[in-house]
Amino acid sequence: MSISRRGLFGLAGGIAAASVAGCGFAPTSSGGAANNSLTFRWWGGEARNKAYQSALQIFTQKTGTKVDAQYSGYDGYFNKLNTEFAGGNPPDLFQMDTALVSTYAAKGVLTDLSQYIPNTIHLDTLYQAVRGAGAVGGKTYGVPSGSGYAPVLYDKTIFEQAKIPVPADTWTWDDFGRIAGELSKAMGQGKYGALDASKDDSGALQPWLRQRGKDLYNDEGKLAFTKDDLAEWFTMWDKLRKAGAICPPEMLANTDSAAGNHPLISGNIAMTTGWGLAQMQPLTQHTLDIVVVPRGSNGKTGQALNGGVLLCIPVKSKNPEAAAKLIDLFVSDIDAIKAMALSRGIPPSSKALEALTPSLSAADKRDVTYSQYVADEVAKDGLPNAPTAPPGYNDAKTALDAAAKQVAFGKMSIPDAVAQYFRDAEAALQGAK
Amino acid sequence: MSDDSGVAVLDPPVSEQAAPPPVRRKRKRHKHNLAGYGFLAPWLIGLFAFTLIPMVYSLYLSLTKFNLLTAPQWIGFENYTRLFSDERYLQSIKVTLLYVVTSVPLKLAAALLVAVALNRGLRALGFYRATFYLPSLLGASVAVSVMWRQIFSRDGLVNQFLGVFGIQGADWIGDPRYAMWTLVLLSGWQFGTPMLIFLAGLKQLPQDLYEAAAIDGAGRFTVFFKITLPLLSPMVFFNLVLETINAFQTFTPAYVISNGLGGPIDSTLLYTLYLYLKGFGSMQMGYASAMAWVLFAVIGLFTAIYFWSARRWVNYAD
Repeated sequence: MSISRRGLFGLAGGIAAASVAGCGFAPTSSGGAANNSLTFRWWGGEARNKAYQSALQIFTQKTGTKVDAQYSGYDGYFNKLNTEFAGGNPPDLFQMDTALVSTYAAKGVLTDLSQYIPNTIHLDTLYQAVRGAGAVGGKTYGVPSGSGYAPVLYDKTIFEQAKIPVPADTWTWDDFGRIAGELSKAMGQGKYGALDASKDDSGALQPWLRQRGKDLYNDEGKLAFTKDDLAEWFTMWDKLRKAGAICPPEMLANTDSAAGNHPLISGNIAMTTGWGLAQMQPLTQHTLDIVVVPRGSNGKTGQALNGGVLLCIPVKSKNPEAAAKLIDLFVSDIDAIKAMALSRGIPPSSKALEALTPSLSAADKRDVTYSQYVADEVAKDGLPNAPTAPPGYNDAKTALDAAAKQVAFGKMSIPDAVAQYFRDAEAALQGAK
Repeated sequence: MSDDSGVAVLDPPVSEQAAPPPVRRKRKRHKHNLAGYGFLAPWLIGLFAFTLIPMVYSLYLSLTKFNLLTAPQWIGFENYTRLFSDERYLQSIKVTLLYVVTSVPLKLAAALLVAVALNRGLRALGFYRATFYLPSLLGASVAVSVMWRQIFSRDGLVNQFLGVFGIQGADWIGDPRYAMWTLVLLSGWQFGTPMLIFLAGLKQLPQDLYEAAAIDGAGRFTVFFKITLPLLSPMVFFNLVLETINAFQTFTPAYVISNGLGGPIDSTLLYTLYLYLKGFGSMQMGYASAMAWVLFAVIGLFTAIYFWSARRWVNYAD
């Protein structure tokens, strides 16, 4: 018996050792001291990894600086980054989530890039609306590498089968509810016109609030809407849910990643917020298309251009000058822009777009014409730019998700869920300062 | 090292060793110990570098506010007092206790059942043993959890099977009433390790008691409950302790099946998953460290209760 048990524990030990080795951190930036090299970390899919690497080759050719490329998926990216920051050994340049830049800036670990503008980093080609994407408290901590608007993504094939006209660019929230209801009827049992977007902060709630002259957050990093607003928002979705126009909450389990079991891809719903064409179209045989998020009754789109991903330089970067040059390559070097195409989102400058347009695929072109259309519409809205997401944003987002689902599952009344959201979100925003 | 060789030089000749003075004997023993520690070094270094020092550091962190990026600030016991007014924390305790009290008995029952079934002189025992152990070998791996997610998803294998009989299955992963039970089931399915231990235990049981029972005409259930189970109680105890500790620390399946969020509506928010979300997601590492120490205390408490109760029901042969 002792033998089999020892063998057993040996085996268990071996497995444990293997799994520990598996999640170990790769050694990083140990050789970054020399001034002709720099480490650059990003997250991305295969397309972005290839595109970035070809841009990095161009950078090395032009400046002679070698770049140590470190890339992974988004999952765990910030955990790993946090660990490196905590260990005092961050990469020299890294890709940042726009929504998190203020969280890091508040902790004093990011370089103020103002010192490199305009001599090293040329921001003048960027769209006015995205120039401030990395700005926190009047300082520029990040430069956008791509930009975009979150549309409503829909399954055109289902619309055609149901003989329902596709949404027009002028549609309103009332139209959205009506069309979703018609789709639900046409699609049959267990299928629904639209995904429940009551939990979607940036793709649905933010435009809805901006249409009413409000926003998710204000410049002071506090919530910029009232409990009444949120109650009205939840009520609107609750009515749609009870009418069977949007999906039941059980279906929300698979909606956080672009994959085959996303209800839009599995054919269980026909419309969703928060997703672009580029990520979803490759996953289905159906034809997908995008349309602007429903307008307010005043005709405003309420859309806010987001900076996509940002590029940031840690205070402890060993080679900030070269890192700044690399940032500039991403925003203003024509060769690099062509090499990267749309793999990083819509390029954040008109100069980049003009250079790119002739060589784009059909789906890519659709993304571009859509974002140009929305950019024009946003100009007509005449609304101020959306403020940068404040520190604690991530927890506030989680709080919205939780409150919306409590309502959807019928576990909480709307007033209770609203109260819970305000309590949790305010605590998160306050606590992060 | 130099100390070691110095001792070697001072080593007395063999003849003197018959009656060495006490001081020398002490040195001698010390030298032996040193060699022992030398062999233990890899393990000791691991123990200190990867267990004890991090534990002490996390105890310190649990008394601070630490966001991973800037230096920790001392706040005393605030993290601990905040824990019990945090509704999500209380929810995670509820979920974890439910998980532990359902998954551990299920797993042990499955393990014992299969072990008894396999302990009847099967010809290809090795094959069956390996087959039943396979799920545990895959263990808490991400791949198994992903597979589980597929099997129980809305259009997954289970619902396709139910569809054959015209039953519209529920959304097992997406519905808060069922999501937790898919985790319990996954744990129960991975009964390989306790099964092997039970099987090894069964092979050691004295046959004479069974022969006596057979002569007395005892039925199968009587034999199992009056002979097998009492004799096997040390194994049951061992497995119970190990599996309870494992269950409290379960992370991967809940992380994968709920897409890292503990949903739907926190129904699979296991303790370690919430700890992870607090520490790395919300960057409240001090709070997360306090959670870790409370978990440590709770596991210690459960283990102590087991050992205390063991006197009443664990039956050692000697």
